[in-house]
Amino acid sequence: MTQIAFYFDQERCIGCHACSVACKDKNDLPPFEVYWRQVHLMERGKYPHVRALRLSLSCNHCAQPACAAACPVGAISKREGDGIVLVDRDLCLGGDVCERYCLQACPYDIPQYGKEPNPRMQKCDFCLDRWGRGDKPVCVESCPMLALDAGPLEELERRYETTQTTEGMPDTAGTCPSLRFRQPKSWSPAASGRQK
Amino acid sequence: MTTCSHCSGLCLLKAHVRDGVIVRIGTTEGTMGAPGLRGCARGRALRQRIYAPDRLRFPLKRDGERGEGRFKQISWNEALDTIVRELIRVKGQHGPTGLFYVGGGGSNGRLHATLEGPAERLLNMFGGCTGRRGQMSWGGVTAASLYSYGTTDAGNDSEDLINSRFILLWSFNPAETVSGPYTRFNLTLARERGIRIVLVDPRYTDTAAAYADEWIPLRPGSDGAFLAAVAYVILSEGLQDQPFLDRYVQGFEVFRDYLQGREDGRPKTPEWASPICGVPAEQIASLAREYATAKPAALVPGGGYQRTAIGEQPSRLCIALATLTGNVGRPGGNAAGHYMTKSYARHPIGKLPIGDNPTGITIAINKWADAVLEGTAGGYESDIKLLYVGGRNLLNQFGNVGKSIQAMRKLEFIVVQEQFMTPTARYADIVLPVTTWLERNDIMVGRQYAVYSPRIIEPMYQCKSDLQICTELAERLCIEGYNDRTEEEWLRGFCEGSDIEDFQRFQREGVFYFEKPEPYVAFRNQIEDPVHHPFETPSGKIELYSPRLAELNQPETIPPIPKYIRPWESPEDPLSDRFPLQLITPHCKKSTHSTHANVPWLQEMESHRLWINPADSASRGIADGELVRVFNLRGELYIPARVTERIRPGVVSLDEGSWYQPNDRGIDLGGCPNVLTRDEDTPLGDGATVHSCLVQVGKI
Repeated sequence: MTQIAFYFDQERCIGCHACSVACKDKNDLPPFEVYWRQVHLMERGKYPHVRALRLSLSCNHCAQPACAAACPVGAISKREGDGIVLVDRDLCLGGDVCERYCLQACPYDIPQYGKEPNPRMQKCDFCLDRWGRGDKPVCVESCPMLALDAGPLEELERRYETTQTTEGMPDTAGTCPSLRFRQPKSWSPAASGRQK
Repeated sequence: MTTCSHCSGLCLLKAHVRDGVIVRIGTTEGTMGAPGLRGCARGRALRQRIYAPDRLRFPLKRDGERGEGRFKQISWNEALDTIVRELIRVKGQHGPTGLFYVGGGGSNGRLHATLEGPAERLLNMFGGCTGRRGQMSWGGVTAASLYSYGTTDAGNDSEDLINSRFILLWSFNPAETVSGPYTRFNLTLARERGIRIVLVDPRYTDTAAAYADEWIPLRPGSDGAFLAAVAYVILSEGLQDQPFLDRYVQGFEVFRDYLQGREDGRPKTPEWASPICGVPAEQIASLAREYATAKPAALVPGGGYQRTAIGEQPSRLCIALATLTGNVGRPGGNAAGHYMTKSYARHPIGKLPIGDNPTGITIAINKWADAVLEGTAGGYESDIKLLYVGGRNLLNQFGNVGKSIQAMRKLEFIVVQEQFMTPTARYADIVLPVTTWLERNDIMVGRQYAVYSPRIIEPMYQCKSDLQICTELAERLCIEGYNDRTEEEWLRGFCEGSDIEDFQRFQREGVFYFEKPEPYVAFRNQIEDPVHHPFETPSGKIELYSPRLAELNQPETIPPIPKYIRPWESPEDPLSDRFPLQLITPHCKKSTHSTHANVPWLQEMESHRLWINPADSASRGIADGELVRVFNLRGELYIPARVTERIRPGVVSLDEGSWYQPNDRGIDLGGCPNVLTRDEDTPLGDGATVHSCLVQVGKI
């Protein structure tokens, strides 16, 4: 099976949120409720030696998705052929009935629940419709810095020098997230102070 | 294909339409290695603005006190008849200068511009009005560029950054402000080539995080002292480009004498500048050496530093540094002046002619409220009675909201053309609902290309375009020849004789790229062929010393050479005993000024908070996220604190753009920083001075 994956260039991301807003627009997601892609901010150091970095994160379509293993009714599955992790919202018991086991299991806090009564779990579906047409997910298309990419994992690993993890990424052991990174050269606050 | 008509970034957007409704926003594809002209979050969130539940739907008439927000629906006929009656009455009683139009950046279209567009055409044909001079955004650097270089086309293309050996970003924040869709990516290309980038800014901005190898946080308003000390080091160590100065520059000696202290007995050493700027002398000196010895080096100023009390001077000093080091007119250098006005069009695209204002009377726009309140008795040239606002949230966006409210209350009649019930519209007598650019045909022109922005959806509700409204007013006022064409006829006419030869193709493709053989280097001709290309100044040279400024004879605020002049409301001001914190009000990614500030997808990205350093929050007992009061003699607001190491101690920062929402005691709960800022303008360019502002912060 070919596994699809995302690529995130942490060195390039400027934190503009074009990806997360494009995702909201494409998927008609309500504000202040659910987030299929989020741009996290990490800050470090003491004035004037500070650094800030971003981490743009959506579902990692893990090789061993902890959410799927945790779902009591088998509503979460990995699609044959490309490994996209999908949720069957008709099967999902809903966030009021179920203890939201998928969210508890996911190390990346990806499963989302809206504010409606007994909300069904929702999350990034790799822009299934676009992918079916041969287009990349809308977040990738939107990035003005070309800091995001998507495609078969092997292809991404060939195209870029990638790392398995990066700053701010939760411990990836166990789920094998389908996400590769370009890590920033340095993430030491001293680097921005007075060093040459 | 479309774009954002209110932003000079002018990214390309695609609107996907199904059954007459926009269902998704897309952007240009680009290819690996070149991202195309991809829109920012504001553009991607466009649907939430176009289809916002709070869009104005029909004409409104005030039904309560001004500012109370009580309105009732009226017909277009009643609204337009009322406006016409008031225009005629005020003009009859007070003459044309009783009328005052304030337009803004709501729309930059060639046909439906809110600044220098249909409304000004109407008023000029009606006999004129009180006009405006100066500007909010670029007053300081515009004047500095005109007096130094004779033009405002005084910056290189961002494509040229990769030719630099050293890049010095000066209060420039394209990671949030975009500043042309190419700029962010070109800075990345420069960084990835290993070009060292230093950023000077009181905040560790997103631009600092994304690009800077070194961050120099200086005190707001002290830029001039820093820049003068850099110049001093360059001269004292002989690092200047003397042949360049001898050949292209007028007044070097006078400037040198100032730096060396022959004028006032104070050499402008790094030790002199250090306590003013709050930056170690050694850091200033080492930056000077780095900038002067890396050849070429690009000093790229943004805009914030010149929205200060004497904003022309730091702009002139940036230009002086570029001049001293011979970085003007060279690839990889930068003239460090204004950079926003250049267009590659060889034969410019036309725009709706607005004619001349027959009264010839103007007021400085940053002082509009003062002019309304004081009038001719206060030394202004007119007594304004009727305010006509188009696409400008002036109550919110100019300094000193409290004074603006007084002015709004004094006026006899106010009409506002808007898309939303902005804080300004709340004070209107008549509010007219206006279409967005997606509901009308227009052309937007940027530095490198023009966009044909067609009517993509039908006008929403009862909205009409600015031109349509003014056309109907002109008919009622019996003004002949105001508008005898369709939108398409106008737009086709604008393109006649321009670079765009095939109008239909332009319509079809949506974008026309001006021919550009290589990245633009400002003043390249003047440097490479000075005999045939003198600078457009009276002397034909770069004027470090300006005889024109000397003639003005105001050396304390408008010296003929660039100088550091201490701004009012600086930390040295006695007022700082009571108001010890400097407030800056930067542009942010959540809005374009106050446009988009009501879009939830953008509001949720980052919450609107006051940046404050832990040193300042701890001494006040303020916790991160706590609602605090920010106040001075002009006003007060409540806002949650964002305690962060990313801002200089002694400085607090609140993004501009959020909408003023007073409670019943007049305290703003909307986070509009202009309740605190001052409405003074810069001495020469009539620019805004909102970053010279002292405040105190405390627990509620």
